[in-house]
This record gives sequence, structure tokens and C-alpha cells, in this order.
Amino acid sequence: MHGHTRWVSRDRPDFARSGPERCWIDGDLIRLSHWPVGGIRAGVRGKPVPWLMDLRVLEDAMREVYGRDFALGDRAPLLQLAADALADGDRRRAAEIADAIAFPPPEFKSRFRDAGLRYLAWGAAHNRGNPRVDIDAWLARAGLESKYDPDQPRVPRGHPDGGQWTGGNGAGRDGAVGNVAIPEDGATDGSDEELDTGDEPLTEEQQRLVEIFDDARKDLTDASGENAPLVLIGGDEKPPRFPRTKREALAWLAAWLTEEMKRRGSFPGRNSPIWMEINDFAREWVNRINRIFPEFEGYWESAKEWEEMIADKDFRDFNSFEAFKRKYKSAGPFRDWHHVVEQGSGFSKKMINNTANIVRIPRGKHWDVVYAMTKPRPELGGLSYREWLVGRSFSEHMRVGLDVLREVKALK
Amino acid sequence: MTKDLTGRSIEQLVERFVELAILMGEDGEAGLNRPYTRKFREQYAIANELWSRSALQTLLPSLEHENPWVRYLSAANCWEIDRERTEATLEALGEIEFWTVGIEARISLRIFRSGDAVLRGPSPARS
Repeated sequence: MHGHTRWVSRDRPDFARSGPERCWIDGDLIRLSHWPVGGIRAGVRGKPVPWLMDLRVLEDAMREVYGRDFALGDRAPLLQLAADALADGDRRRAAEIADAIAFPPPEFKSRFRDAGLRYLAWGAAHNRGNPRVDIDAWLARAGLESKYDPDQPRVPRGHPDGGQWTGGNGAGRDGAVGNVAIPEDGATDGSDEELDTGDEPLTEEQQRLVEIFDDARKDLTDASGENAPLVLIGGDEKPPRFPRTKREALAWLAAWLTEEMKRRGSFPGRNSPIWMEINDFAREWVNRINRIFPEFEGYWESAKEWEEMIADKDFRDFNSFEAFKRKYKSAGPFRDWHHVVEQGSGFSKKMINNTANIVRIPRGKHWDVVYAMTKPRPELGGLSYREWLVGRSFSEHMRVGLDVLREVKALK
Repeated sequence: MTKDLTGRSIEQLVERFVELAILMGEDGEAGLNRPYTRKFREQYAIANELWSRSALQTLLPSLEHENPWVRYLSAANCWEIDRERTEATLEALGEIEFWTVGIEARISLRIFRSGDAVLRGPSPARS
């Protein structure tokens, strides 16, 4: 509308090109692919920006829009790495880091996909009473409860720590257990959706894991002040929440990993491939989580199932449903393409958009399937199939998908 | 929505359960998910309240109700207390072709038989 894309110069040869349309303006967000990196004035939309964002350019833009200084790196640990590189005068490396944040190399991505950590974050977002993936259930199990209070005082704008939660009633941002607190009398808030989480106390190791997760959540939800430019997850009016999309989960996990790296004090060296270390680190943590919470074990099976599936020589997979439709066209009159394992199930795009997972069914049957998947069921404790499947393995998704197709008689 | 349940008598709860089941049937057959889910939550809270009072068996007469959705939802909530009757009811409903209630009955039956069902466990009042 007002030509805000002028921030991103097309004449900056010293910045890594990150491919077409990886970065664009969407609503009031500047996005690197689907990952929002900064808020801008609402009302500018649909402007593809095919260049990698320069942090300083972005910060300049923020200053112009909001009339004050921003250090984006303060709010996203990996962006901080990029900012550090910029400060060292290593612009190329800064650009590479930023690129890696938004688009992890395939090697990392694939580990990511199968790690299940993503499902953990993504699944927890649903927070609809599925104890398998509910961080609040873990907190409750540990005798802790979420202590987010929107009225808790914050450091005012203008201060270097502007927007951070501050002391209030004695429990500060650097309180004993992140933003959770031990309830005084073990009482709960009596909410209807409270989970029966059992009485098993968390081990010390589990306790530590919960704290790390909680820290990561806090870091990503501390969008500070009224004019917070970085709307990663949550905002001032909304309570902190887990990422709702895969891309958000990606950002969430990246931040978490980086935080942990900081804690360990081992950053990748200037010349070392930055993701190799994170990769090893992620693997280590996946193993640990697997051991601590055996109920997540099913997640890691997906990779094997996927490999078995693609062994079929007639199999074709696509990076998006649009790509699939470009190849196979419309499903025909009164017919729809249906994903047996649903598009929102959290598996990789190729696992979802392929000839083994997409079937052509009559539109009425498709509606029946969608209804059957989303309807809450007393026999599943009030969850729908879609909710119940969160965090379950690919084969379980496939089994339910096929069963429902049989039920609606779309499949014999 | 659920706070006043404790103040209601068992008869009132059952009456509301049946009333909701009929309305949910209309939503269900029309594929209206949102209103269905809203009513489901209230109905599920009622079933839990009946369970906590050890009075879930008061839903069993609804297995003979003329409305198939009342029969289906009663059966889906009474599996723990009378498997034989609820299974027979769900099997009969599963024979219904072309209507959502038939699909739902078949899916429910399969969940119960697979052991994936999340059952309520022993009634607190009984144990």
C-alpha cells in the first residue's frame, strides 16, 4: 500500500539469495517463508520479497515504522547469532544463519521431521486434553501449574528489558522454575478441562526437561510492549501458547535448541557447518526424551514406515497439494481429492501429498469423512479422531484414515 | 454450562441428555460440526455427572428410544455398565445405511472392540 518493501534492497550482492519468494509480507507480518520474523504496519499484503532479509535492514524498517530502536536478536536466539555475525562484519555468515533458520538444510530437516520433537511442540498446541502431548499435564504431574498472569507487571517500554515480566509478587522472570510455580496447597483451578494426570511425581531429569520447555515457550512468547514488532507466538493480550503450525514449531524448536546450546556453552565455530552440531544435539535430546517419556516412542517410527511406503515403484510424492493437483488435475465433477492421513496431521509434506495417501472420493463421502474425523466421541474421552490421533504414529493415522473411508463406504 | 449440573436431579439430567441427543442428531445428519460439538460437551459433562453419582444406568432405558441418535449416544456412554445391551444397540444402528448415525455406530463399535476406548474407570461412588 505504501511501498514498505523498499526496505529490502534488490541491489545487495553481499547477501545470500535464498531462492524465489521465501520471504514476503503477509498481513502485518514479514515472513521468511511461513515463519514470521517481524511485524509491520497492518494493511500491507501480497508483496512477494524474493530476497533474504537483512537483519539491520529489518531493524531500520522497524525504527522507521515504530519510531524507536529494536534489537531483533534479543527475541530470537538464532537471529542473535546472525546479529553477532553482522556485528563481526561477516555479512555472508549472517545471511547463511538466517537462511538456515528459515530453511534448515535437508539433512537437518529430515531429522527434524522424524524426531517427533516437532510433534511434541505441535501437538501440545492443541491443548485439548490429550495427555500424551500436553505440557500442562506434565507440569501438573510435577506438582506445578502454569503461572501466566496477563496482569503481571512488566518492565516499561524504553527500558532495555522492555516488556519482560518483572517481579510483581516476588516471582520474577528468573524465578525458581521458569514461569511455573509450586501451588501453595496443591489445589487446582477447578477448570472443566482439567486432566487426570495421575500422581506420579516427575523425576529430576523430567523436571529439568519441563523447565527447558517452559523456558523455550517463555522466550518465544515474550513479545514485549504494545508495539512489539516480533510476533512469534502469542502477544501481549494473549497468554503464552505453544506453536500451532509446523513452521511455528520449527521456530520454537530452533530457539529451544539454541538456548540449550547457550546453556552448554558450545557454539559452533565460525567455520564449522552450523547445523551439524545442532543436528547431533537434537538427536541426543530426542533419545533423552524417548527415554524419559516412553509414551512418545511411537513418533519415531514414521521414518521407517515412510521408507517402506516409497519403496513402491509407482509411488510419486509432491512438495505440496498444489503440485499434486498440477500433475493430476481436478478430481472431477462432484468428486474430491482426499488425504487419507490428513493434511494437518504434522507429517512432512511428501508423506502427505503422494499417490499412496491421496484418493479420489465422491464429495458427499468426503464430507462424511471430515465429519467422522472431527466429531467428538464419548468413547475416546470426548476427543475426536483428529484430536486422538495427535502424536500417534503414521501407521495409526493411516489405519484410522482407511477405516473411516470404509465406514462411509468410500472404500471396500 | 457444567457448573449447575450438581444442583440438578438425576431425572433432570437424563431429560436434558435425551433432549441434547435429539438436537445433536439433527446437527449430525446435517454435518454441522460446531453446534454438534457444543452440545456434545454439555452432554458429555452430563454423562460424567451421572457417572460420578453412580447413576449412569439411568440412561439405559434410552437404548429403546425411538430416535436413533438417542439410542446411539446412550449406547456410546453406557458401554462400561452394560456391554451386552450397548453392543446389541450399536450393532443394530450400524445396519442403518446412508445416515450418519449408522456410520457413527459402526465407528464407535469398532473403537470399543479394539480396546482403544478411553473408559471412565470405576465409579468414585462405588469404589
